[in-house]
Amino acid sequence: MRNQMADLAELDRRIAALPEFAALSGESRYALRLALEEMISNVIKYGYEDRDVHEIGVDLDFRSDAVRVRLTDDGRAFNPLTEAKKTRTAADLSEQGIGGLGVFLVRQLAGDLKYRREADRNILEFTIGEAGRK
Amino acid sequence: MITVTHRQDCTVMSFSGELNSVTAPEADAAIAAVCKEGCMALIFDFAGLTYLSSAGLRSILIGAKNMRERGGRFAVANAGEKIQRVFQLSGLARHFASFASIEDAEASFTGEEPAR
Repeated sequence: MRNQMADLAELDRRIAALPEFAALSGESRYALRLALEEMISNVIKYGYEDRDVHEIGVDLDFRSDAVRVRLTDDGRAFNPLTEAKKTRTAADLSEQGIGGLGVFLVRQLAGDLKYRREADRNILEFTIGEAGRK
Repeated sequence: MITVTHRQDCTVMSFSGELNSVTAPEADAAIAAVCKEGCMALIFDFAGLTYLSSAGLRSILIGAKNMRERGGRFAVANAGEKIQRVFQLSGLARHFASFASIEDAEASFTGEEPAR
């Protein structure tokens, strides 16, 4: 897919139409859609300094009890495992930050989160589903 | 889709469908408009909401902050299981009093303590 919100919406529609997706539990379906939206919209919004079209790779491996996801992009280096640690939930609403919520959610939902930077590309892998649950 | 209803003592914003990175800008504008009108008691009604992502959470959070800054009150009503779970996972649930109906949420505004 390209680094455009319209392509993210189209990806969401295509995944929803897959029989493998329908076979997942309701909780896993929600978690998969959410994790893809959060991580891909992050790349689209913050990954690029130019206005060019970039390709974002989305690989889904549906297994019996989980989905293994791999996202690849050529945007600026972003490691969600280290860069999003600042996100904290504040006791008071006035102190509550509004950034980093998406990555924080994915860290709650996804299992086995792995990040590497390889040949100027971000490669993020994680698992959604019973097997990947923390 | 967002429907705004003015009740006697509060305003109800009813969200339906999906509140995600595509639809959040619409929510931002609608919430900002309600706050600008001087609304002092706001209920986020999620009865028809089927999906919520961080973009939508951010819209709701900004609205709640705006209400609080002006000394207003706010509450959540009719959030389904999936929507509740997103609030809990994000850690934002603590900022929102959540009620099973609009009437219950409205009744909470009459107490002395502002809704946390």
